[in-house]
Amino acid sequence: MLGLQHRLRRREDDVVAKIMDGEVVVIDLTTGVYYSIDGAGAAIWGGIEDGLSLGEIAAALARRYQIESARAEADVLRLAAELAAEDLVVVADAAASRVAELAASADEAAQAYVEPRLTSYRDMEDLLALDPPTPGLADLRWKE
Amino acid sequence: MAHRVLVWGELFWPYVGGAELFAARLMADLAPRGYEFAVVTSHDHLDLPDEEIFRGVPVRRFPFRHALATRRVEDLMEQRQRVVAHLEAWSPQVVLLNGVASSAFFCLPAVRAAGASLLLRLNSQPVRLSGGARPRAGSLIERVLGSTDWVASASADALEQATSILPAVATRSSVVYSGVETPAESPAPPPPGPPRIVCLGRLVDDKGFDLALAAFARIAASRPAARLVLAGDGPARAALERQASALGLAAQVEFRGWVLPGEVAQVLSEASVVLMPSRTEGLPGVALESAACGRAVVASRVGGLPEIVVHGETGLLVDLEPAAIAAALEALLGEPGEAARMGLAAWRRARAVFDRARCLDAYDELLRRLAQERR
Repeated sequence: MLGLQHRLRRREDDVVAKIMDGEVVVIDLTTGVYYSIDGAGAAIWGGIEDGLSLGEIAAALARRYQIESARAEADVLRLAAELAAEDLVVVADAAASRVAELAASADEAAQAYVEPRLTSYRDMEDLLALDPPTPGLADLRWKE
Repeated sequence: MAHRVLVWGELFWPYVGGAELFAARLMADLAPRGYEFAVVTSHDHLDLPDEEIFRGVPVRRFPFRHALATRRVEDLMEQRQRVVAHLEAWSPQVVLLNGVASSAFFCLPAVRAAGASLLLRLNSQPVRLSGGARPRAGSLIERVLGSTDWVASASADALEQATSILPAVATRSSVVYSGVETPAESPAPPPPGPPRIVCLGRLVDDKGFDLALAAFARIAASRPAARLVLAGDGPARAALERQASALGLAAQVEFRGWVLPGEVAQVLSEASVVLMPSRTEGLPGVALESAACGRAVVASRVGGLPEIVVHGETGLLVDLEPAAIAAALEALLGEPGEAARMGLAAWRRARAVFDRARCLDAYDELLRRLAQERR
């Protein structure tokens, strides 16, 4: 069971991710499942990528959004558990504790706290397979 | 002031399919009622321009499918940013998502960023969209259904499946049949002469044309003048041609190739009976067009087909098994008068139930209401 003392890391070989405009898109290259993380989850993910412990992330979250520590800790642990359950992250080696701040985009500081949410898209491969290329269309032009 | 509606389709003209035709015709028919349309769609295997005008409607293509297929997250995010910027600039009041497909992954954040209302036209069985199994928890289909302001389902069957995935859909949905232009005069009966069984559609596994060949093989020997016409093209064509040859049917099976939208009525009118042994369907336009042409349909009991074909009245519904399909074909080919009676009944039902104007009025009402409720 994950605790605040744990540090996590992305499974670099099989999981790719990018943060943009306060949202994270994650792809598990082995399963083909896509994920998005929004709300405060983008900041949490950024803290994980920066090597912070879950407790450090929660503390930074509480400072940034002016929320109670207990709430920040609960949300961080919940998201961390979900990420681990999806095998997107693993426990990393221990490191010295520190006070850290989460990287923020320009407009994040003004935003109210939104609970982190992990959304999975398990049917992307099926959907992509539905419309295979159809031959003979190059010269077909509707005239109606 | 015109209502600004952006139609989002996985594919669009010049790709040919029921969804693509529906979108094109809907925009043409609703524009005079005070709408301004634009299209966002995905590039696919054809080499097409990023921007184009189709009958006065700006079409913008993005490499969504390629970005998803390559799984390069940088490409994904770039395309998301680009389409978000596009929607923010065009500022639609409503986005009409024409079916659930992979590009919906890019649609949802773009709709959210633009503050538009989202109307989903559900035109396929949700189970089919998930590879034949009930969509798992955490699916794009579930996410799309949860994000829509209204679901206009092309069939009661698809809506029932959608509601089973997300019960809340029941409170913000309706069945809107696609509708078909039906001539005011009753159509001529099937032409006399050698029987012609017509299968029309993309040559893909879902359409079950391999079953059509297997069924035809059971009656071809006793009906040497009969012809089976496979009108369409697709990735399954080579396999179907091999199957026809292996069954000794090469002389009696015609692979017609692509049928332009303007040719559909002619092709169907030449049929003695239309055969649709589909493994999965939404509300197929071919069944509607067949009814409009006064042709009886032998069809599988899947998707929305039973909502169009009334067994024993406007056609025959059969199990997906060559012997059953063959028996149904024999029943109609052996009784041309019965086939003509059913075709006439199909035409009457098309005029009563699948009136094109009713479909347009329904979409007009939905789009206006959602435009006013814009987020």
